Amino acid sequence: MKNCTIYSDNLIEADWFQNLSPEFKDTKTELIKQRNKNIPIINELVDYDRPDIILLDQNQKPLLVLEKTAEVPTGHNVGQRIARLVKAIEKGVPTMLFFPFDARKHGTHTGICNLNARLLLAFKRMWEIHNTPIFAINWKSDSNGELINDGSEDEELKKILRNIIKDNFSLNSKIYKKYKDLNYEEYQKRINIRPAYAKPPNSAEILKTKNFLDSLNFEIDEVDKIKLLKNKESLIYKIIMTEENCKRQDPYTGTQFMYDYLYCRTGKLNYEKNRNLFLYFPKIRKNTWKIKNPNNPETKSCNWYLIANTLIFKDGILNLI
Amino acid sequence: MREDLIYILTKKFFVKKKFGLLAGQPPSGSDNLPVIEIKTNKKEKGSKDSYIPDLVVINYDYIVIVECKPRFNQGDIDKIDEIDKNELRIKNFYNEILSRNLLIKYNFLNYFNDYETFKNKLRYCLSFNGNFSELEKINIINFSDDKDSLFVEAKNSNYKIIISE
Repeated sequence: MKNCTIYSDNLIEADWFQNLSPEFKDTKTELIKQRNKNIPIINELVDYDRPDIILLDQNQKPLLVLEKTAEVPTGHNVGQRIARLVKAIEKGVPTMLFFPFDARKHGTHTGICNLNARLLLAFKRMWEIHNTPIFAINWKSDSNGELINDGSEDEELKKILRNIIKDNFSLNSKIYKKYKDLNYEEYQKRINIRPAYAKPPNSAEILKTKNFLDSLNFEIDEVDKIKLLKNKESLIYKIIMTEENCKRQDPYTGTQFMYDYLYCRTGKLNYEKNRNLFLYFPKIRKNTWKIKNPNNPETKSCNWYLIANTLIFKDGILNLI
Repeated sequence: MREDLIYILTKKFFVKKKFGLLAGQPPSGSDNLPVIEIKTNKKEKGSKDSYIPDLVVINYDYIVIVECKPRFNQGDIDKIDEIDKNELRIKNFYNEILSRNLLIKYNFLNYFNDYETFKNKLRYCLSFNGNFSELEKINIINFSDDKDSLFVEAKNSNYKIIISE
């Protein structure tokens, strides 16, 4: 695959990926640059966030996107990285996330953390909506929850890549279907153990749209209200940030994609939903937010404005899609 | 030279010299190695005041804390010096490695079977590109722009890493 190019966020990840297949031995590597400083297809794929690996063929057609992390897979950790992946599936590029399904968190409160299984169902929904493979691969850990790192942890990924390469990167490669089924089996296994993962988390609640809008302490313009009431139900993703610490995106702007696909989205376009997605900031005023998180396409803060039907503050709403 | 390239070259250098890669936290991105924190006080929460070595490599004779930087940096020398002078930190480092079972995992437990042995085998290394002068307690891997490596032992014999060719 001499004429292909591995684009990576970092030389360490590029080096790791290149060693996953002998086919990549002579493949060129390039670093992903800042937003809008890359070739057009890379700029498009990093529009929401930067994945670790993008593989392009000789015609600059993307063949796959891969994200890798050793982070423990609970809470917001799993959602944080989703913005790095969604653009790829929107563009029909097969996408994989390599991370531990079960791993030990170190420090004072050490313990084995298990996968937030919602991620697996979110991937299934994304795959079905965009008709593009997206799946999770387990970075195995030992019985103590320590990640395997003797080289064998990459074997499964190597096998997947062998199959994808053998099938010429066809979307019809049987390996994709196999992992779709495996991921769903894993999801079912995990919600049997922990049924809470079959429902929204505490920070995200499904409510009647009218009831929620009526409960707010400010008036909403009638035209806006009519628009928001088109969906009878809404997923309220409550984000408890203060005005002092609200200039940030992670982990929320990644996690919003997970909740959108799990509970709201019905089609490829961001407004194709059967429930609204509301990002709710009960401790923040709208004007403070606009200063700290402007909808600026040059920075990641524009990710706040991608998919939510609206952003709701303690004194008003912003950005209706 | 980029910091991540120095990290990759340093890993390759030690692997070629038959060292095992015990832990690592690259300057950016992620590696497949465990991340080890060396804390000042075990009771403190999170990573406050903790030091995470870029790399920790091991063979039967040495366990080496390695810092990878694009250029020679006095701050790294100070950081390593602070670790070296602080018995508590070295003990915390040893305990962290034990609690993660890393010596057992890589079959080095028999060669580092108590704290004193561990401490006596502890060494330090800086890897970077560009000009340098020899250091008292820290070994150096100096990479040229062509990625060739030059290994320079620490001046103090108690801190030297003797690497066989």
